[in-house]
Amino acid sequence: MLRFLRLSLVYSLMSIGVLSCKSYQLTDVQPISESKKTVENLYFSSAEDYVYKCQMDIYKNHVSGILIIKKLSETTHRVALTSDFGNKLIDFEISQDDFKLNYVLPDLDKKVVINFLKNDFRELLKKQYPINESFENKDARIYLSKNDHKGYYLFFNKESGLLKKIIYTRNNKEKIDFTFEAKKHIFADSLNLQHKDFRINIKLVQITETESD
Amino acid sequence: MLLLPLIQLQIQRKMIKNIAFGAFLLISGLFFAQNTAMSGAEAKAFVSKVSSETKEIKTLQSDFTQTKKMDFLDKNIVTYGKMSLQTPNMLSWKYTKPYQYSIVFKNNKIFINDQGKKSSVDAKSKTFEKINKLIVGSSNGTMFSDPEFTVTYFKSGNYNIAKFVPKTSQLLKYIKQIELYFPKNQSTVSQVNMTEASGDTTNIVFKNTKINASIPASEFSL
Repeated sequence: MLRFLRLSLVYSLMSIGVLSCKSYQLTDVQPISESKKTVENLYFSSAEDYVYKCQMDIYKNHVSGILIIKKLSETTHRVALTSDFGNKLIDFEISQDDFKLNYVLPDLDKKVVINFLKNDFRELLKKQYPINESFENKDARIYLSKNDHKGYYLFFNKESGLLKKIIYTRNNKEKIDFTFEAKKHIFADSLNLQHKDFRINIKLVQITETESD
Repeated sequence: MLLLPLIQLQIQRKMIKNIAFGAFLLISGLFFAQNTAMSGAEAKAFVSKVSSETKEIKTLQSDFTQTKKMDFLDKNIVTYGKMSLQTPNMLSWKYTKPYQYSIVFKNNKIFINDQGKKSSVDAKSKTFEKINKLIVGSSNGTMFSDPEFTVTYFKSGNYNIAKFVPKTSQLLKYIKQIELYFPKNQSTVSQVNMTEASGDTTNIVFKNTKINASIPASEFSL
């Protein structure tokens, strides 16, 4: 009995190992030749205010609020999250190299929280992707951009030309899926950020009802 | 891991708001004039009038417009909704535009409906006691003697204004000050201005306020 238990433990550990070691691979795609050298995520490239209703699920916890993203310069965005009641929870400036925390509510001032937001938004706001490989399937052109141990698969809808999805991998493992719904290339109506190795999900839906001057 | 602090802070915000529920009625246009400090006698008369009149309030309903200002934004963020209060301790605060989000305080529980996603939290905490106290306090006029705040009084052409500044550094981390605008000759709040520690402001204007009209029970269930 003991032996059986030990064996099954070994098997389960092995299967867990296999599962978590699985590399991300595109399926049902054809390589294509592409003259473009880079592709871009332009969803946060306008200098207008981007305002979204935000729902975060972090493990079993549900967090609601309003997320504001504002482009400050070619490299830097300001990101602020408020509760539905308007009070600010966190406010930071972020680029691919820099991070400046302007404000964080004392209750949220935890390294793990700030790092997770920093990393996620850095990936979300990344604009330029040099292309290493190109593929296509029935609906999309797919570009792979590799940088050290990081990889990005960008899916552009063939018909609309709009960016629909980014799969972010680290050491070939799928880490975060970003999916976008959009009618314009500079503005996503909604987006979903889904972590693959943690039960963390962020859903953003644009709020059109802002004050008109 | 994040929920509790966030809920708490929402509660905190809520509770701050609840201070405003001293009963409010009437709307009037925004009017900005030089505010002058009330004399001691004026302040005393104002507080006693508001306190005695709001004691009669059993229910309150109002539409609200919430405007959030942040210095780096081109436009303000405006949300709309509806609040209902039934003494001693039921409160519903619902955003209806541009999205749906409701929070109800009832029977020591907090119920949330976030665009169809429902949750509830037991609130047998000190915070909830505080909220209850504030709901009750604000609907019977005792908010002016809340020990958490220093209150000063001003007057302008159209308004009496009560300015609340937190006494404790703990509360000051969240809020720098709250101003309640009472239209002259009204004992009810028509506007709340909140300034956060970061300097951002949230402004809430109440409209179509009804006092002591019956509120269907469904208003407090999500």
